[in-house]
Amino acid sequence: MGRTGILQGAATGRATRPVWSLARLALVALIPAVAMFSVATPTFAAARTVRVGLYENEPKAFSAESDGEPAGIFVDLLKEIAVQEDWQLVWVPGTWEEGLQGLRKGRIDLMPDVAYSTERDASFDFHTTPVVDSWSYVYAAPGVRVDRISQLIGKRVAVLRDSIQETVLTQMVAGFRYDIEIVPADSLQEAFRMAAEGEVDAAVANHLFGDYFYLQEGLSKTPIVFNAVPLFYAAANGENHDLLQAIDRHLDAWIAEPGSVYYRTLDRYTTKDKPGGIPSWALWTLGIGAALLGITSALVALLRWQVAIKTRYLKTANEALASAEEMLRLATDAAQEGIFDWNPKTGEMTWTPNSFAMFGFEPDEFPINFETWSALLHPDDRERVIAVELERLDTGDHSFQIEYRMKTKAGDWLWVASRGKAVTLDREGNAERVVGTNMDINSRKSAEEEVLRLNAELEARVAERTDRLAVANKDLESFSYSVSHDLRAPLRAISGFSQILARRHRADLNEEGTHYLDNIVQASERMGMLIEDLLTYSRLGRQAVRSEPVSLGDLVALLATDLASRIEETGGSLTIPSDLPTIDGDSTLLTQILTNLLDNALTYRRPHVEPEVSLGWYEEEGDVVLTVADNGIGIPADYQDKVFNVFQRLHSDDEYPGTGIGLANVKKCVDMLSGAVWLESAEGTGTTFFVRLPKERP
Amino acid sequence: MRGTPHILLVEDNRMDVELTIDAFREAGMGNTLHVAGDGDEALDYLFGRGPYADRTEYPRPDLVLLDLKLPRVDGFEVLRQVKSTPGLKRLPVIVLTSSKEEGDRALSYDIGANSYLVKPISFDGFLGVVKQIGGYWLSLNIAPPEERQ
Repeated sequence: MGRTGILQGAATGRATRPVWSLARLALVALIPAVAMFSVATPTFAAARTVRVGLYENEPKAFSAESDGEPAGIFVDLLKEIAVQEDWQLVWVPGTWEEGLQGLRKGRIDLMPDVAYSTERDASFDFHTTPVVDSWSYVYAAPGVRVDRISQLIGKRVAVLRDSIQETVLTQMVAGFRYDIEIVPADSLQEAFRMAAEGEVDAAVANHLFGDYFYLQEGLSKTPIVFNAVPLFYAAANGENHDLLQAIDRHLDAWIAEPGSVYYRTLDRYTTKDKPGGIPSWALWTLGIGAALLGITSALVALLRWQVAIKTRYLKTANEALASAEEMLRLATDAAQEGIFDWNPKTGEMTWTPNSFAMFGFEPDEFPINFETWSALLHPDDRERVIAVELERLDTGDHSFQIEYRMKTKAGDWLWVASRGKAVTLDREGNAERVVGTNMDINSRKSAEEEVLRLNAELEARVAERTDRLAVANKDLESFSYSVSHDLRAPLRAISGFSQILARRHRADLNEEGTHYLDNIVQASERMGMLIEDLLTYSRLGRQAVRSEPVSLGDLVALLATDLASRIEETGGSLTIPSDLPTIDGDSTLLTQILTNLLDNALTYRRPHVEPEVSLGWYEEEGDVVLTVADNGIGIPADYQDKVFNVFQRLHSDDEYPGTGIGLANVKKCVDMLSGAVWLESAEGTGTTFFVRLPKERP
Repeated sequence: MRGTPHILLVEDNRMDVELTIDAFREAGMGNTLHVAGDGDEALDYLFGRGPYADRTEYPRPDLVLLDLKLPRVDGFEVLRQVKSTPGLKRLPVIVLTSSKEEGDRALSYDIGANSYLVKPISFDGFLGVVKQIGGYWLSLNIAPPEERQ
C-alpha cells in the first residue's frame, strides 16, 4: 500500500511547483482536527448497539493520546462500518485477556484484532475475510544484534502474555531446544519498553505494532519473521452472526476498490512519523510526496555522488587488491614458490595452487593437512624435518627453514625448501598459525649433488694420480738407491784393485801404465763421491722427518771439528756465533744443510785468497734465518736460481771438484723442514746463503 | 781366545771376498778366514751341517762378518737364526754391508747384530775398517763365555 501512495505522491509532486509544497504541508496540518471531528460525530438514528472490546494494541486498536477517543485500524474500520450499518458502538476498555473473557461471558459483542486459531475457533466465531494479515518480528534492544533465531540463545525475549506469539515462540524454542528465556509482558508497549530499557534483549511483536513503534523506542528490526496469521473481529460462539456478515460484506467491497477507506486506514497506520492518524491520505501523501521529491532528488544526487565515490573507491581498492594479488601470484610464480598456511595445533593447512602444482597436483586435488603432508615426506627426511626442525617453531624466533624431499604425483622425489614463521602464538608461546613458502630447489640440489659428485671424482682422480706419483717417486728413489747401491760393489772392486795395483805393482809398470792407473784411481774416487751424494739425495726423500729440539750450537761445533783440518789446510777461518739457537728440527737434515753450505764456502774460494767463512743468524717473524757467508768466487746472477738443481754445476771438476748434488740436497732438506733457502752473491766478492727455518714445528 | 781366531765371512761378491781377504792379509792379523757364499751355506757352516759337519776342519767361528744382501737366504735370516739358537746366540756378528739405510740398521740391531759397519768404497778405507775390526773385536773385545749345552 505504501508503495502506491509514494508513487502517487511522486507523480503529483512532480507536477507541483516547489513553492506550493510548503503551503500544502501547512494545509496537511489542519486535516487531523477535521478528521477527528467527523469520526466523533454521534449517529442518533442507531438501531443497534454493538459493544466492542478495546485494549491497547496500537496501531490496531488503542485510545488516542489526545482525547482518549478509540482509534486504530480495527477501530477506524469498524467505525466506518458502524456508520454505514447504523450501529451504535460502545467501547469497553480493558486488557486483551479481559476482552476475550468479556466476549465469552457476553459482556461484549465484538473483539477486534483476534488471530484465528483452531483453539480459538472452539470458543469464538470469526468472519471470513481477514482484516489484515499479521506476522511477527523480533525487535532487538538497543546495542543487541540478532540476525537469526540461534543468536537469541541465552537471551531474554519479551512477548505478549497469552498471545499467539507466546504460544508459537514457546513451541519454536521447544522444537529447536533453544535455551531462550521468554519473558511475558502485559502489553506490547510494555514488551517494547522492557527492550528499550534493556530489561530484555529483544521483544516480539506483530509487524503492525512493531513497525509502527520500533524506531520510536530505539529498537532495531531483525530479519526474524514468524507466525503469519490473519486477524479478525471475533464474536462469541454462535452470537452476532449478522455483525460478522456485515463486516465481511464491507471488507470485501473495500478490498476490491483501490483507494477505498480500507486502504486509507491501513496507510494511516503504517508508519508513526507523527502521533495520531491523518484522515486525508491523499493530501497527506501529496504533501509528503512534494517534500519527498525535493528530499529524494537531493538524496538521489547525494546517493549517486556517494555511490560514485564509493564505487570509485571500491574500484580502486579492488584494483589495488587484484593487482596486489596478481603481483603476489606472479612473484610466487616467478620464484616458483607456493604459499602455505598451517595451524600446528590442529594440523589444518592451506596451500596455494602453486604449492600443489609444484608436485604435479591440481589445486586442491587432495585435502592438504599436516598428516597428508608428512605422508609425502621422504622417509629419510621425515624424522629430521618433524622432530628437529619443526621443534624450533615453539622456541627461539619461532621460524624454520628446512630442505627435504617430497613425493610428487608422478612418484618422484622433489627437493623442496620450506621457510615458515609462526605469526600467531598461543599463551604458552607455541605456534598457532604458521605462514610461509614452499620452493622447488630440485635443480639447485641436483647441481649441488653434481658438484659434490664431480668434486669427489676429482678428489679420487687426484688421489689416484698422487698415489701413482708417489709410487713412481718411490720406484724412482728405490731405483736410484739400488742402482747407486749396486754400483758400489763393482766400484769398490775397481777402486780397490786399482789401488792394490798401484801400491804393490807400480814398479812393474812403465810411465804410461802408471799414468793410466792413476786415472783409474782418480775416476773411481770421483765416482764414489757421486754415488755417495746420490744415495744421500735419494735417501732424503724416503726417510721420515723427525722433529726434536736441536741445539745448532752443538751441531755446528761438531761440524767445525770435522772441518778443522780443511780450514787449516787453506789457511782460512770459520767464525761461529756463540749464541746459536735451539730449534725444532731433524738433526740429520740440519747436518746435511750446514755440511754442504760450509763445505761449499771452503771449496769455492778465490785463488790465493784465504777463505773467510762466517756463520750468522737472526730471527724473523718467529723463524730462524741462518746465514753462511764467504769471500769466495761468487755466483753469476744468471745462475743464482739454478744452483739448487741436481747436477747443476758451474765449474769443471778440474777447477773445483764437486758432484752437482750438494745444493740440491740442501734444498731438499730445507723443503722437508718447511723452510726456505736463497742466496745473495756478487761475482768475485763472495756469496751468502740464507736458510730460513721455523723455530717450532707443529 | 783359543789360538788363531776363526772368522766366517758371509759374502756373495767374489771381488769383495778377494778384497777382504787381501785386506786381512795386509793388516797381518794372522787369523783364519772361512767364506760362505750365501745364506744357506752360512747357516750350514754355523750349524755344522752337511759339508761343514767336521768341526776340526770347519771350527765354530769366533766372529761373523755378515753381508745383508745375499742370494736365497738373506743376511737378516742368518742373523735371526744365529741369535735365536742356544749355543750360537752369543756369537758376535758384525754386519758388513754397502747399505747405510736406516731400515737396515734398525732391523739389524733389533735382531741382535753386535755391530754395523758400512763397506768403504776405497781400498784404503776398507783396509782401515778391517784393521779396526781386528784390533777391536779380536783383541780388545772380551769374547763371550761358551754356553753350557
